[in-house]
Amino acid sequence: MEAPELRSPPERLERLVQALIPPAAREAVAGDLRELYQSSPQYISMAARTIPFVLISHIRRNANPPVLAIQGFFLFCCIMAVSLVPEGPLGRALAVALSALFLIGMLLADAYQGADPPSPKRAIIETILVTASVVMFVLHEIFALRAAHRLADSEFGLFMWALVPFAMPVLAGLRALMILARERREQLLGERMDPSELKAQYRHFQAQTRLRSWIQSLLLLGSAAGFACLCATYPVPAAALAWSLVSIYAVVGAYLLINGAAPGLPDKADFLSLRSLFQSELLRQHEIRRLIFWLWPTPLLFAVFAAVTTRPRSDIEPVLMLYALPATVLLCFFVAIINRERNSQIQEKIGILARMRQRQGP
Amino acid sequence: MTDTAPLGQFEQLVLTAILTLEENAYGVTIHARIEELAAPRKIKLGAVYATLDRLEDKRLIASWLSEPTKERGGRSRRHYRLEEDGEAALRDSAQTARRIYETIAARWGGLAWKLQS
Repeated sequence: MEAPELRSPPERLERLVQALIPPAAREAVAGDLRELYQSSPQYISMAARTIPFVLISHIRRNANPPVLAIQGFFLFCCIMAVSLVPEGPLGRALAVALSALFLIGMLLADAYQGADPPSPKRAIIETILVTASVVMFVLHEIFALRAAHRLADSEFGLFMWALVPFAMPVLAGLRALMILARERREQLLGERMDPSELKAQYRHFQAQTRLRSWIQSLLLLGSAAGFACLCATYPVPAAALAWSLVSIYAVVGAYLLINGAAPGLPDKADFLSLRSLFQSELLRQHEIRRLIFWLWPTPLLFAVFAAVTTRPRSDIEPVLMLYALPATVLLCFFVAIINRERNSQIQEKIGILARMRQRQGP
Repeated sequence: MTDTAPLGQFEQLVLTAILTLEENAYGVTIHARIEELAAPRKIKLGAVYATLDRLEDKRLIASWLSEPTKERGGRSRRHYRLEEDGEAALRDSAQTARRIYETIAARWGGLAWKLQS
């Protein structure tokens, strides 16, 4: 006798629903929705009531508040620098609103980022789009500065011939290389392991995190001491913000020293608990590294912020608008792509761990 | 006593569902068991996923993916089980609930209050 045909949603509808579920939860949630399928309207209604919860939960899990604060600060500085944005309270309110919108977009992009790396072609297109946006911004500023007779022809030529042709292929090449290097890298985790093998892998990972935390902690505490001397010796614009930066470096450095390394193995951890610990530590270490990567260019962001927001736009040096700001944007883009690449690697490792089975017998 | 913050009522329901379902605890079955426990309240499946994520972040439960199955279109199930801290947190919650019950029962006289409602 033939088995009764399984009821399943129309293929297109299922594909659409699947695309709306964040990749990290896609397999489990799409499978559960299919199991509960009765009719298309019921399926749509259930998906509409389920997916927002899943999405918000993933945004909460991926959100790193200190990183968001740095990104928001950076976006605010960039928007304030654009001459289309009016000066004064209205301009500041507009910059805050636009920064918030960009941040929401970035949170959604993070939640929908999968474990698969983008193709090198897509990565190169992304890079070209970002650098082209920077060029458009600079061209707009050049016309504004020339109209105000504040820009010599030589300064215009230097930017067009030095920064843009250099930045675009370098960034595109780096991004493509990172993706290709990942494809070639050997995967350490296997499909089946016994608890002792998994313990050995975890101990190796723990030793790496301990060393990295110590180095980063020393660098951060040293930088905090250096910035503190600078702030105490010279008059720094936006002093309160500068001291906040010193405090952030010191706090993060101390945190890494105390709690940066992955914790030791529990005494009675079975395979499942060990795997769960490994997964959560991979995520925590990634969030720490993500913050550190954003912390390093923060003094540069602070310098741009101080230059752009503490005086009238007519007093800002053209060289800052044409070189420092675009260079900061490209640097931040580079930090963002390193973090994205790292995030998809971590998601891939977590996925491998979730599918891993305990090896039976000797 | 556990070191973690006290559980909310919905978290207690999710942990209880996982405890009773044992090997068969995944999204659909957990949701169905919670609807039984919380009847006549209707429970959203999405709220169950969000709570499972939160409990996993607190390391009270652990999850893993099963082999793909045909009835799910070749997709895996995400199974859950209680971790040691999860069991301890649920035990704390049960003890608190028992104390609340005993206090109310002493005041209102056994189960009579329940039958009146």
